[in-house]
Amino acid sequence: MKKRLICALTCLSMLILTACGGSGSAENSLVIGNQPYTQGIPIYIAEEEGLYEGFSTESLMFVSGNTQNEALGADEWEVGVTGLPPAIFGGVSYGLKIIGFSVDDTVSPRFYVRPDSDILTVQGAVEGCPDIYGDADTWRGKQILCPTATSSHLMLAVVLEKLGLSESDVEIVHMDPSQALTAFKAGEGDVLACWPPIAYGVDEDWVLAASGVATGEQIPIVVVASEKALSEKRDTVKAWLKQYYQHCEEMKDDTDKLSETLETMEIDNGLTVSAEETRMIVEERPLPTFAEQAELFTGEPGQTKADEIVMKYVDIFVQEGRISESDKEKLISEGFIDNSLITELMEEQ
Amino acid sequence: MDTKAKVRVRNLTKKFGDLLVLDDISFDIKKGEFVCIVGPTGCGKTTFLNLLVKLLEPTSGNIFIDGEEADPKKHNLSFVFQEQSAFPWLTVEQNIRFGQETKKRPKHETDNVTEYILDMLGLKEYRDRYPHELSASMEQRIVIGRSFAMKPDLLLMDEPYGQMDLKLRYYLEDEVIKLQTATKSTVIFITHNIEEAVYLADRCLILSQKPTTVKEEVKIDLPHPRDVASKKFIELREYITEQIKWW
Amino acid sequence: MKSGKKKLIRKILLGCVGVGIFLGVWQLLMSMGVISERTMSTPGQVLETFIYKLRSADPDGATLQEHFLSSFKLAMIGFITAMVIGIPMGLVMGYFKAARLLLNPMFEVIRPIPPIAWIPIVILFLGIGMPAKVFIVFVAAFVPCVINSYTGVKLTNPVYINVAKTMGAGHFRIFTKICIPSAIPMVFTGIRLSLGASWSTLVAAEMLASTNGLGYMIQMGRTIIRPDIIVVGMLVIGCTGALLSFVLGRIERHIAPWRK
Repeated sequence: MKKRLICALTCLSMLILTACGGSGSAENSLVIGNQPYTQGIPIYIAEEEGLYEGFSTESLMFVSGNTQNEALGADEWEVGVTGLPPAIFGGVSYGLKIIGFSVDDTVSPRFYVRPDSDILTVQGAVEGCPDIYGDADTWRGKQILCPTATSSHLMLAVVLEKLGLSESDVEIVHMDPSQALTAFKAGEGDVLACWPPIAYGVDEDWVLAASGVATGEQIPIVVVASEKALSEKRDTVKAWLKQYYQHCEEMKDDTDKLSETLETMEIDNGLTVSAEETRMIVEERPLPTFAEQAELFTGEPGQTKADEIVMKYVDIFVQEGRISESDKEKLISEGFIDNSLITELMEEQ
Repeated sequence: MDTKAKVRVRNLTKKFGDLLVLDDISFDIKKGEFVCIVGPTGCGKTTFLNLLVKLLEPTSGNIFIDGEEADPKKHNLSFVFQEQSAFPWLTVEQNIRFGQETKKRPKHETDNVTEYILDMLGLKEYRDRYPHELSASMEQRIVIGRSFAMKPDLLLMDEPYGQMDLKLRYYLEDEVIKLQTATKSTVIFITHNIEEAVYLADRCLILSQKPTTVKEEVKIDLPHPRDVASKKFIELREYITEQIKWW
Repeated sequence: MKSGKKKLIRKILLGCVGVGIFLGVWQLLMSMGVISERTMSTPGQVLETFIYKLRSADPDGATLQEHFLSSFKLAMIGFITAMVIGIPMGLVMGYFKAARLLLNPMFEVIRPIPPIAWIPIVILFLGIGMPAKVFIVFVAAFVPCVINSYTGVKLTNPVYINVAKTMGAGHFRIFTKICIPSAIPMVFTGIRLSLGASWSTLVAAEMLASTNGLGYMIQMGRTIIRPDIIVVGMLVIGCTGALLSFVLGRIERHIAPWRK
């Protein structure tokens, strides 16, 4: 009996230890946390066609930023692409760093109303944003179907700010976006937040009352690296970053290839999308170039354009109470936006 | 004693498919009579009782109680089963009231009868207890009390003391005689135990093997309480035992 | 009663020791680094967050009490509705053949459908407010009530029914005075299962659409990577479930004092 107990306890502790141990990989290899969306196409193709030079890679596909972060917590990936909200939470909890921007996600957040909504009775109330309908009075008290702590939610905060409102002036109902679409069609809610390809399923007579584009602000998809990867294999990370942007530029104009690949990636990961929809998506969301990164990340650490863009959203999260002021200070002090790799790559050119 | 028959069984036959269990049985039972039925295992004693209370329908033949066809709704029937049947969710007192309430007796009558039965069976101090709190013999007493409380026209008892030791059996046999004398119920009592049959019965019906008929009737004309060691008692016991020896 | 009190004290003490050992092992595994602090919080942190959440709506948008009340209301309405409809339905189906033939086919089709699968239809017919979420909880809680009540009646000892029949009792009296009391232990088992199902389906129901609730709080905890919030949510759900189960046990003892 005693022997069996000791054996069982040993097995249990071993199980726990192996479960908690992360996957370390060799100096010139990388595990990539990828996503089956536009930003992930170059990584997917590079892996499929063996385009990476000087290091080996393995990639893991994550449909949501949440699971991607959970995997990060277990040290399961080292570099990757992800949305800004999960990058911020990953930065606070796991020391994740933004090392570049990927696709511009500003075109994605869209806010629809039905044709009879009183929001549509006012236009141009927000200075400089002619495509934002309504004003503080017409938006106040509206029920908005929007998943919380997402890019859409961040953009919604920007829209509300421009209208002179805060989150407490409206009712935000957290819903899965495809269910939100069904609900909105059934007459629930006053405003629907959604993004392509779900946004391609909206009723013809619904009106785009606000959008990321309409705010004039920018929200990016970001390229990220774990703290561990940056400290242990910085050169490999840099090489990968360089090649990522190279591949982006090479594939940028091949719309056919991009849209076909996107369709494959989405369907393989259980997402429903059609060929026409993937085409529209890749056309609306062009791949990034290195030149863009050079512009965004030039300057003193903490004072670049990229910092300005990202910290705006960090501030919104602090305002909403999602992260604390001290979390924000930690992000700044630990160099959440790391422009060193881009700077070095610029110098090497 | 009223000599008109309380129960008339006429040409009672029961078949289960091709299996003929009861074969054209006929006999009478007088009001207030205590009849014991003895017979080999599997001869259909329980089937016979089930037919009497209409839990089963006969293949042919009839059973009359007070000249009418037996009907539990019309007639006052009571059955003490072999298995424990005190309702676990009712107290001793509530159990005893149950049959009377089913028959919609007036409340004051039910109250009186219940008190009487509780007293007779020595259950007064346990009236608010639940069956599971009591011993098996007390549970059986509850069931017997419940049955007699209904003042049944016909009380059927199917080996009710099967599980009990000798001392308990004697005690409960006396209880039944006491209650029967007091309520003047007609009782049909099934048992394997010849001594018990001779102790209790006014008349003993001996059944045959399947297909079952009434092999013989033995009258037992001894006064109560009966002395099991008396000459007549032993004679009767031995006689009946002899009759069933070939089982 | 001396020995009764002693037993109770012993019971409580052993329970506390058990919980204490669990917390101790948890803290130990984290202090030793076996469980990483990145992915989990210590018991101390969880306690701190619990107290913090009683005062603050950050970071998930509502205080713990607000989340709790929202979920509790939802679970209780769904649970009670399930009992009120499911138990009589099961009891009647168990005794009356006509009822069983009428209701059983529908019930057998509904039974295997997971509550979450109802969400799209529920949105169409009931919208996205409380009634829709209550319905999801109801579906989960309803099934054990029906099945256990039905089985309880079906398992009635035939001897009891025969006793009543012999006494001349009609169907209604047999059903109400024999079958229903006989079924009570199984009915309570069904209620217990139903309570568990209500609580655990809560999280799924809140996925439909929410602004607060314990399930919502746990989801938020996941998105913003706050394992302490997740654990607080789980513990509140767990402890509430245990408390309700205890209360249920007391009620059962009161309604069915004859049970050993």
